Amino acid sequence: MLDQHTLKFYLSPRKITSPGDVSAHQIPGIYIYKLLKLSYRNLFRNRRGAAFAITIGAAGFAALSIAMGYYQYIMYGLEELTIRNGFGGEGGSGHVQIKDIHAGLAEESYAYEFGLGNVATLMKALGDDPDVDYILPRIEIGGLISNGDKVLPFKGYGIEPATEARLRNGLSKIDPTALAGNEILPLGREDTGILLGRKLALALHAKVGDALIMYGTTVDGAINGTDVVVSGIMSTGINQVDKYYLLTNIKTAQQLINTDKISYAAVMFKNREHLDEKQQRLSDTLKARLPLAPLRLLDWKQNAEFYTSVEETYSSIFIFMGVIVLLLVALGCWNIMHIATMERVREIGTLRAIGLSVPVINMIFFLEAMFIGVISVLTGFLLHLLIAALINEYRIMMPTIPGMNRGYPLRINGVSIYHLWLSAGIIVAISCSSLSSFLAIRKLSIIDSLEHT
Amino acid sequence: MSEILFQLKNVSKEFDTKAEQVTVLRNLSLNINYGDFLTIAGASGSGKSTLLNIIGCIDKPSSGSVLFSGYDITGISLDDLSKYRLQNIGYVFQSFNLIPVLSAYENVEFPLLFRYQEKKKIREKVEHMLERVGLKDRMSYPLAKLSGGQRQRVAIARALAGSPRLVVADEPTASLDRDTTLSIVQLLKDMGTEYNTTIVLATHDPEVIRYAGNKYFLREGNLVGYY
Repeated sequence: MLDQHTLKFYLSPRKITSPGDVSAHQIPGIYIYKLLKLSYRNLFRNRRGAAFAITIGAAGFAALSIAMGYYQYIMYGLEELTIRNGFGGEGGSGHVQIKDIHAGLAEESYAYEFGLGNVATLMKALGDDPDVDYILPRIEIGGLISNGDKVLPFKGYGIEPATEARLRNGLSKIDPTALAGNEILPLGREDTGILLGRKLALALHAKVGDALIMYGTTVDGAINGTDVVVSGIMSTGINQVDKYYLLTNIKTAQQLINTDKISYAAVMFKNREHLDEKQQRLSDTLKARLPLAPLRLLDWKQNAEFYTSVEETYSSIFIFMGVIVLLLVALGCWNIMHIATMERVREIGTLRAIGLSVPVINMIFFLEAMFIGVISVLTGFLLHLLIAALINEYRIMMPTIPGMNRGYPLRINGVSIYHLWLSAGIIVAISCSSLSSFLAIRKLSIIDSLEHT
Repeated sequence: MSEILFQLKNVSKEFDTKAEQVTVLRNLSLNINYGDFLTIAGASGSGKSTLLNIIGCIDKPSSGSVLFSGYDITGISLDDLSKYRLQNIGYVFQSFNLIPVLSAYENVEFPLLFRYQEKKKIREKVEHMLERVGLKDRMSYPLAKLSGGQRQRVAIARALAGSPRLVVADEPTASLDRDTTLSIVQLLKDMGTEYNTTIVLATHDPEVIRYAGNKYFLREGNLVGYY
């Protein structure tokens, strides 16, 4: 800080003053564009260095954009898979599930105590909601299945084949080659039909058309058996589940356990937009139409433990990877900015000699780095579009995930709001590389700078 | 009697090298008046640039006092003096030290951006100065299209555009031919008189020294009268 004596000097009558005089330590706002112009032109002084820095930034942006597009694709795929297919053979969660208010929260005193009764009224109430597209009643069953020679445990569901197939068919939006849902359709041809998990069928030596006996416990606690016919053999995609999995018609399942209840109903809205509002409207409708029914509505995420854990894991991985890439971009540009500074030592000395403060000179280098960041983002964005288009065009198949029995096509989602954050990240990372200039400038004395050749 | 603008009182400057301590200026005292055109001559390595750096407030003496308009500025850091330099001192360097990516107009304008807020005032000053140094028709020229003499004129316009009280010129004609040298020195002298600006010029060119009102020779770290 200047002392009082010097302050007096500045205020002395001989000082050349004007109403417009400003402090050298301020950057006049109205002239910031002049600094921008200077910084922009400085980029072309070391074209190779600037081009290299832009390449690093653009490659970083494109890499993160593609990773983000891939992340968004697989998360969208995972969401759809959760809603339309599920991961343990339980079937897709639908957009909303309607359950008894106690289901899953308290222990049942007897089987299906917390199931949903009065199904026809419930289905009518749900079907009358203008947002609802279709409803999927389901009943969970478990027991033993026998081919006469061998008895094996099973766990499965009683379903309505046509609506379940429709639900799964929606997956073809993600993977047009997938025939999801078609494998369920044979179940609709026969009331006593069952679909066996691939490994369960193998263990029972069962093939399509074979007669089997399903055993289960009724709601009264008695053992019951029912004859069934193998309508088809299917896979859940998970080998372990295929060992005990089966599907049957809802009526066959209800007959086995001697009830007219269902475990729950999954509901699909016409689209996924404004799900919260739709769920609330549906809840209000049900309260009005079925005031005595103790119902609970769960959105798809509340039932999606697998999705939630995968989302957390993938988010952590992508954030970590993003931070690493941003650090690499910043470090790559750090050296280039340092070289750019050392090439202009004499100029820095001149600017300081004529009275520009160090923060103003730093600002010139900061803006220069910011320009590199902005150009990198624009270049990287175009590069990202090109690479994404090529990947999407050539439909590269990703390897099968452990535990699954089918790969999936690699796709990169398009532009999203996250690109704004990514752009900001790259620009900030590259702008931060101007810190190398700040450190270099701080060490330079005016005299040494002016003598620099 | 002329009023004193700048004073050095018993100023010494020493540099530490690995082998020894070198004394460049020894108990040097100097008074510079308002409006002076003063030259400092001396052999290479005699300390002309060091003395000019101290006068230009971009270096500090090892001992002694530096006074500007009677105020002691010796204890003020070089960073704090940046505002003082911007307001009061202009610089002309041997190798021009212009910003290569800016045009002639923009080079003169650049320091003014940090002194004045009025666009019109800045424009008028820049245009006036470039006209005064004979470059009115080359204002928008990039520096690459200007000759050495023209670039030095731009540097002079930049140094004087902010109406400083003192211009420090370190061998401004050393890299120019004879005719250009004389025209540049004449220009500096004329403009110093016109704007009542003190000019301190380091040179070892007798032709240049001839233009000066006060002529000093630096010998063994102290000033002696040239004539």
